[in-house]
Amino acid sequence: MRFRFDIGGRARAASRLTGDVRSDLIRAILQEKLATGLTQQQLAKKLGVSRATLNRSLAGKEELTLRSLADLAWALDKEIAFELRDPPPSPGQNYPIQTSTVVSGAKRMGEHIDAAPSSSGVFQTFFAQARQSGKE
Amino acid sequence: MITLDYLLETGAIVRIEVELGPTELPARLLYGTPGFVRWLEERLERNEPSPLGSDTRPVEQLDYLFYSFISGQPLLPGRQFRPIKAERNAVWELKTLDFRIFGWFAQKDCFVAVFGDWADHVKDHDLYRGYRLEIRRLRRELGVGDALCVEGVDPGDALSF
Repeated sequence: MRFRFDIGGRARAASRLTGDVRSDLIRAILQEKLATGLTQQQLAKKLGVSRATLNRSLAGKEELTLRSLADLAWALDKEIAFELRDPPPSPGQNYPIQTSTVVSGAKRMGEHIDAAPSSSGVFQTFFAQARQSGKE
Repeated sequence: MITLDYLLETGAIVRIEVELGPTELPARLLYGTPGFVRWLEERLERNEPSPLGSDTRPVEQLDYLFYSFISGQPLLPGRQFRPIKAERNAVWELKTLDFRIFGWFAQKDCFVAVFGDWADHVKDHDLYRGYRLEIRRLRRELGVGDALCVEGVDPGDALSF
């Protein structure tokens, strides 16, 4: 038995974006702590906010604005990469097949092969015969 | 010996899925008892606002937790999951800002959720012990032995990072 937990596309887009951003920030802070010993208290001081405010932002109790995101990245000496892009055309699949190899499409393929500069004489003969039999 | 397949066949647990990205595959397994699934259905139906004032709704927090878990993203120990008590075959909780989910790791990267509750309700009424004992009782009832329960309480015992 299976149960699909589905909150809908719009809510999912919001949950994944906010979740990813907060997780990345928390990981970056933890990495900085390991690398340089920077505490949340010191980070909050650098940002000019209280530690409680910083914690609330990271925990999701307060909205994380673009400005506060930029400030956090600056305080951690990180750059933000942001990109809007089209989703893949066929979710869960590779790109659609652009060519066909079925014999029933011999005429179309023959044209394709004829046009190809490297097509061999054997294939040209085969597709010429196929076109001829198609006309008959 | 009880197996996960047996628990699935008998309806004692249900596999929980979320939508993954077009290039993602499940890396961890999430199951729930029928009671837990009913709790999830109720949350979806009601779609309550966050009692703690979060900018994401509680069901959105659950979606992200399940998505992170199933897609194999690293979870933050303490912040997103932890054992309730340092003991053999421990009961664990998965956490969001508004919710607590109690269950156990049947195997590494394989969690069985049994109870879900509001975080402030759990903390206000100190329900950790009650949920822990209930889950231990349920495991005994189902005949779940050591083979279907991770022993240790280190984060690495429960999840691959």
